[in-house]
Amino acid sequence: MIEAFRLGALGRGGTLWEGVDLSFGEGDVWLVAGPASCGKTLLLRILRGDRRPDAGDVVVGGESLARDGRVAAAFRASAGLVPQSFPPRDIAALRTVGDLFRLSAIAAGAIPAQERARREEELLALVGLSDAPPGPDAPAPPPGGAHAWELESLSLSERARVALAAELLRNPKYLFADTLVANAGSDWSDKLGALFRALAREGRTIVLAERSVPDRWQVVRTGDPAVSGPFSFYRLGVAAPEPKPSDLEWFPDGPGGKEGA
Amino acid sequence: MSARSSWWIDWKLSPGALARETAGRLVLFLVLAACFLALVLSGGVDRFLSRQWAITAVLRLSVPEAEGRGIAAKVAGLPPVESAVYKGPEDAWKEFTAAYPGVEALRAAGGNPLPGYVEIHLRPGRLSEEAVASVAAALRPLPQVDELLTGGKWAPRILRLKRWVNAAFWAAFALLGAAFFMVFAVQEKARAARHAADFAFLAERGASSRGMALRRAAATAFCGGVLALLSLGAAAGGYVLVDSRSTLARSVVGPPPELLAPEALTLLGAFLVSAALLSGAASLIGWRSALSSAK
Amino acid sequence: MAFRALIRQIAPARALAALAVGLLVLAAGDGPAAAAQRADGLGRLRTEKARLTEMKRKAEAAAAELADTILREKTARNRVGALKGRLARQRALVARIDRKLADLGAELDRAEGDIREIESRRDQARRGLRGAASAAFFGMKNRAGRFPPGEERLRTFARLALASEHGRLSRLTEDKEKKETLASGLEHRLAASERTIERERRVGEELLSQRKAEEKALADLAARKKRKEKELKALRARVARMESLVARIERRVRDRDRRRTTVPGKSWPSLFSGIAGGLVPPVDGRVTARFGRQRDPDFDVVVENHGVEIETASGSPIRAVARGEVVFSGSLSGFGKVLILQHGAGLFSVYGKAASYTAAQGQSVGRGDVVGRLPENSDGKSVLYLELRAGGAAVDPASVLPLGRH
Repeated sequence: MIEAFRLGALGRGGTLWEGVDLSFGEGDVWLVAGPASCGKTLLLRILRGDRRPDAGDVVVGGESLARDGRVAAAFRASAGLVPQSFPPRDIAALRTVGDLFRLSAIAAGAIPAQERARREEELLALVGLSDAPPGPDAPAPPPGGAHAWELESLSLSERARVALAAELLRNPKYLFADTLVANAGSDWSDKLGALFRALAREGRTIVLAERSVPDRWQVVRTGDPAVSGPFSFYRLGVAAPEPKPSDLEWFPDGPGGKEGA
Repeated sequence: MSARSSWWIDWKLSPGALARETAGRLVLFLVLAACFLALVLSGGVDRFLSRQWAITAVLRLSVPEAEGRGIAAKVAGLPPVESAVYKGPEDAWKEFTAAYPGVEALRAAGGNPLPGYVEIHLRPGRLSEEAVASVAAALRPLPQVDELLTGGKWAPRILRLKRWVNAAFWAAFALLGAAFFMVFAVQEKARAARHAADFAFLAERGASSRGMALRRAAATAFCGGVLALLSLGAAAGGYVLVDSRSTLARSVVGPPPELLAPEALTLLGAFLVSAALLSGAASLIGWRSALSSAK
Repeated sequence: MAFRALIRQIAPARALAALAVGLLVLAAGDGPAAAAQRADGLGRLRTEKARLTEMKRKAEAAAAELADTILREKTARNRVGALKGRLARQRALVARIDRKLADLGAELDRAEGDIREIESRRDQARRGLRGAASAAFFGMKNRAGRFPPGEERLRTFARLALASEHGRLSRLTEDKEKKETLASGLEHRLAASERTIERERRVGEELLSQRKAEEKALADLAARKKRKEKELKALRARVARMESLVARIERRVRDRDRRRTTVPGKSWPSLFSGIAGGLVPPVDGRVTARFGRQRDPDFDVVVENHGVEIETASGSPIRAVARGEVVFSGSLSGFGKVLILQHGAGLFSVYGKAASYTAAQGQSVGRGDVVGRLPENSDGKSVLYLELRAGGAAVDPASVLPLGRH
């Protein structure tokens, strides 16, 4: 359960927003919508524990993130993050999809290599990157499969999806995605929605930050607009149409994997 | 993120570059190890000095060879003495005429005017005024000893100077070590800076920044230790080779077997430990400065 | 001894021969003179015997004198022998000194050889020392970079070597000085020995010359002795002859005077001092041989002169010392031309060594009349022999004539 009390953030020109209260329950997909440059990324970061709020507090599982760095670090360890722009600049080790996965695996800890390979394959298939060509404007794919694809050569949608796959590799309990659906493209919004719902049903908590609610998503507005600042909080219903058996076999061990969050 | 996965992060992130760096470090360590070995064996100028400088006990003309050899044996048993050799009057005459080529005529109508003498070399580590005084005190009362030459007025000055020269040698070594340490630190900083975003990426995903730094330092320390060991071994092996080819090495630096003496082994161990610690320190310093410059 | 015996034998034989001759002459002489003499022939014989005995004695004396002379000659010979002995000893001494000298010379040579050797060794040592010192100096300069201990040792060696060389040099110098004093001592000894040798040699030479002189003297002496003997013999012979002549003449005169019983108005002095008017010297000169026993200083023999010899200018006329009669004018060996004048009873004057006589036998001459002339001599001096006899005996003319003495 992620709760925030009277969050406030300062920006370059002064206060970006303040007095934001929210409460995200577990096992749900939450959507934060807001106009451009209103500080959605900032909110996401604060909620994840990457940034300390300029005002207010974030409490996860009863423990304040701002007060205790270790708690924040532990929360971060179990919270995946799909950033808005990908790949992040200056990462020397990120050139190919394989690098991304490796980094993610390092962050994940000790995953047996076989297990990791299987997961990677599954995730790539999940996000539709396993055998698909890199993109219409990309050169011929280099040998080695999808792992050898250069991230720079992927399209925005593919990059977003690859980032998602890399985060899912770690089997996080929480997932914070920034502008993921918009980046992935409208033809993937349905699949992503279904994916998120399926993840949430397994007990994960997904927090999405979008400009607007994606099409055809059945969301429910939550939170008090008075204490939402410029944001609008929605909840995506997790009840889903008949799940296909193949959709449910991603993480047989449940959310968090073997080692938990 | 588990602790195990963040071990050898640099090796996982950029093995090629790290291998090249390590090779370069090996070369530097070789240099350092060679210098260190030389200093340990020779103690600076001690070995050279103890070879070059000798105490001469000039015996009386009437002393027979057996007595001279007996005195030499007795002196060789003193603790600060490394070697005591008796040289007879004929050897003294040869030395004399080799130095002053015109004096053969002096012997023409008389006997050899020179007596025998005992040439005493002190141990390199015991080269001091007290040692000289103790040897002189042991020799002076002997009736067979006519004169004791201890280097005249130059000897005490040289012995005092030698300490400073040795200190200078060690200081030079320390400077070299410091310079290499700087190089390591710069390397570490560069790598840390190169991988700063990676570490930030990982830190975002739950890796403890401090933990990562410490593990990185430990890994570097381990590598440093291994490199130091390898370089010591290679330097020792190389020195054995050099010693087998030339005799100069032995008189300036020292015989290789002395490396196995307890004092020498202690110093080599200290070198290893220092190398490891300093490598770790370099890693930490590099991380810190990369972090501070990245901010 | 044989001489004496011989002379004893000869003398009487001669006397006897002279006697015999005299007798013969008497026999062949003037009849009357001889007859007159026969009267006191016995007395004459006795006188003759006495005279012969006298002559024998004189001869014996002469023999004794000759023996003395021979003795003296022996002494002289002994002296010569002694001198010879001395010379031989001297020679031996000189030989010893020569040997000593040779030894000293050899010693000196050895000493000099030693000195030379020491000198050469000293020079060698000095050269070695100089070489060593210069080598040490330049060696020190050239080895500026040597480490002090080696340098120190080499300096000690250099010091020891130089010290030993100095010691050797000083020892050699001492040796040399000792040898030099020794050599100078030897030289002194050598000089002294040489001086001694010189002295001895001079002495030896002196002795030699002395000996030679002695020998020469001896030879002279012998020669002189011989001459003297000859002279003596001649003298004595001459004396004897004169004696015999005079005796003969005296006898004849006596005989003649005995036969003559009267002497026309003359008083016959029997002593020269009894001659009236005294005597006048026959020549003016000085007496060179005196009358009587004259001792020959060289031989210590006594020669009896029966007359004197007067030296005067050569060619001087001879005057009769007194009035008288020429009883003989002839030659006699040893006296040359002889003239005998009778001045009284038994007073005769005999003149000899004249060149010629102007008076003939039997002629009467007055006092101071020239009766002859002395020969001419190259040195302007001639000698006249004058004998005065009184009563059969010779009388010293200087006692009755005013003659200059020499």
